[in-house]
Amino acid sequence: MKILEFNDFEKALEGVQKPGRYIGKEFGTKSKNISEGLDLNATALFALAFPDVYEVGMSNLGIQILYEIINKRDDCSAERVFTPWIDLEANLRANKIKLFSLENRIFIDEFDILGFSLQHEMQYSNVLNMMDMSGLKLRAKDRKDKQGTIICAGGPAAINPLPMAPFMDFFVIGDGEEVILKILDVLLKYKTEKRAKDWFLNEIKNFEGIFVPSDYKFYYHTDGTVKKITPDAKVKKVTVKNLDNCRIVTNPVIANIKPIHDRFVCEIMRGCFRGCRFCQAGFTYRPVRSRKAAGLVTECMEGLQNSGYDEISFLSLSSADYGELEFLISSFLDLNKNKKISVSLPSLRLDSFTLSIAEMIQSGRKTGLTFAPEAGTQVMRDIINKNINEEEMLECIRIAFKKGWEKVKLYFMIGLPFENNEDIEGIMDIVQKIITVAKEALPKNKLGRMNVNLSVNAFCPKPFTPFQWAPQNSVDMLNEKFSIIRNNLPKRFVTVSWSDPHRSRIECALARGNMKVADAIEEAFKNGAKFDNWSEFFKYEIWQNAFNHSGVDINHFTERAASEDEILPWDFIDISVPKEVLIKEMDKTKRIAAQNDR
Amino acid sequence: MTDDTKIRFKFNKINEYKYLSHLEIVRLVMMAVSRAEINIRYSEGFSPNPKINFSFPVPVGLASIAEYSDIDLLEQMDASKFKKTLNLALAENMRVTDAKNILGKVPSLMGDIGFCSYVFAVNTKGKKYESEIKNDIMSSLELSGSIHSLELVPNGTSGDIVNLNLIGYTKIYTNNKIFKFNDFLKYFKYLSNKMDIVVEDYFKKESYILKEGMLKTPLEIV
Repeated sequence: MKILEFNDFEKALEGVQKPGRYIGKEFGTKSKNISEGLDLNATALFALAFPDVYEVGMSNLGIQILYEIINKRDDCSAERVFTPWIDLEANLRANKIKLFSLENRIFIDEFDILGFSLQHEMQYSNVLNMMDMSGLKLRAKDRKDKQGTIICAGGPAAINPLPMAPFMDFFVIGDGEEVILKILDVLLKYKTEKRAKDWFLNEIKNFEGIFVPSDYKFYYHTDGTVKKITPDAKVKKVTVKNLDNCRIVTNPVIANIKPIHDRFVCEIMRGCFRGCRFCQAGFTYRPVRSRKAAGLVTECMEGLQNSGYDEISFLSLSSADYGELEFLISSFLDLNKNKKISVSLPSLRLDSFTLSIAEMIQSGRKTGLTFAPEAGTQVMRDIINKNINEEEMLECIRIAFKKGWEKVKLYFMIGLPFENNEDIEGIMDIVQKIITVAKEALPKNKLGRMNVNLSVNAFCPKPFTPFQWAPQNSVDMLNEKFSIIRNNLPKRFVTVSWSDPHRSRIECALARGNMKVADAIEEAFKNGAKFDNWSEFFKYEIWQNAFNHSGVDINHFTERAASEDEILPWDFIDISVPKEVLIKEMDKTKRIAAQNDR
Repeated sequence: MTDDTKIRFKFNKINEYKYLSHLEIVRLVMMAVSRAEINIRYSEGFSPNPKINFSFPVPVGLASIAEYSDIDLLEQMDASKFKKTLNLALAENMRVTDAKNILGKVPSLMGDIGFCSYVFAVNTKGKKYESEIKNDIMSSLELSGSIHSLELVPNGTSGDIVNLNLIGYTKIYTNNKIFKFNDFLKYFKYLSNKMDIVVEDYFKKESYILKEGMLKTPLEIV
């Protein structure tokens, strides 16, 4: 077992900002201590990797869940590894030191398995960078060494695994909590019986949710669309049937450096009833599963005590739809009434009912209210199936202003299918109406503090949604729409932020990519792409050149409208929502558009 | 309201934790206090703040066995019980090493502490350089004005290793300068390079308060 000695570790940290990112030894660390007589030959070593910096990765619930599950077993040990910031990367590369884990500083290529959590397409370049820093060959076909590190990935940005498929030995599509235990059993045999990698992959490939890229072949038409995928057998997404069987993590690792979400997290529900047609998570996390509130209250009390947090976040895709929300919040607040505990509900859809819940949790300091109409007109909201009514929203805001709120955050998308100028003007119109409501409802001395924080994002059509066939707007079209909004918004009371259209374009190409896109990702990585999720690092030219150089047409995955008859690259994955359902949803959209002369 | 709810405690941050900044250490202490279910007092007013104060920040990268904090609790608690309870809630590289209940009023740690001592373990590789090292450091005007005292003594572990014990000023008294640890370290590393000796380890050892002409630790004066 090769580890990075403390002296060399200290040398590598010289001149590095925030060295606390790399030191491990946090309160709540769970991996086995390798110096305490651990039988390394009988222990499966799992490197849990997150392709972003420590403060981001430590805010991720999935990492905490898997870390807990793996380390609960006596015969396995999971250690964490995050992307080193560019300063440490430079030191490591200059001193030829390979990437190491946080806990025991074991070099990553010493682990039996390396598993990446993919949260977002723009993290793909960091995955390759971390593999490269670990001294691991990027392509799975080049890693045939016996007993070598097996590399896998899972998470929301692995739902279409193809762009990253040539780099991975296998993927987990869906919920990881239960299938990971079966994988670990096979991994132990792989290690103790000194089996070949192919044996390992063959043993796990029939588990639900497992995709082994080397088992599938893709044939293409000359226009780049898919001709045939073999074998016919689909990869079925794995789901945890009953969430109450998976306890929430009540003893999380407490980050040493303040993480971006610095609070205790309790997942109340997985999946969403709403069916917004643009939302990938809304389709891929089906069916909706809830945890029982009574048990959660006890577990949350335990979690707050174990962690020392004074803030809790109840997580779901749409908390207003959680059946026991009022009971959960009121029981929780009741038990904590003598403590200073703050509660957040990040996805609370606001109306007159949920406003009273917002009031319960924001008593004292009314920070702000968030609405996500996503589109500027009722027609467009019908097209995307976002069930928010303008009058109701304005009425809710009026009541909120009277109850003491002064700030409103609004989320909109542009570049949606069938969009026209009315939808763009509609966004400005809603902002104007909120200002009018504020002037009526807020006393003069408070009006000055009123703020509408407008966030406008470019729509990026995603696989497994009814809009998976839709063309993305060109960068020029998106820029024009952004500038119309920016130039016509009232100067007072409004702050606006928008997404970079070039970045949305690359995100779209990666999200809807096929296996050929992997060539472009590898090329982009080799030309310096990293931390593409961070606006200060993303460079469009690198990606544009990488696609050109690899002979992959970006437009094929972005501005091209796909036909409902064609085989989509990700059609071999069964997310439990049949393609016919998505086609029906798209038909409804077309009807609504036609009825409104669009 | 009783007046003896305050506790002054001494803690360390060692090994990997030397790489945590002051603010990061403060956050970890606060979370540990909360895990230990020790009820901290909050200030009155519009935005209540927890009543806890810390001694001077030490630079990132410097281990310390003498960090201090004053905390005010909602109820009176025995200092030894406080120490035991908080230690159960801290990660392995931080420990409360001493604690005392504060009786009556004491000045704040930040305002009161005027000196800090540091230890540098130096491998002289068998050379007898003690007086040269001392002379060289003290002949630098910039440095000597910030140093209250300096001595070189055998480390005890190996014949080649000597400890440089240094007390620096953290407050202006008469004509002295403030001791800046990182500046000193940079100079000392340059010096050891020149003399072909090696600075193997260093840490902050104690904080002192000037009282009646004597240097006392923050716990000695309560």
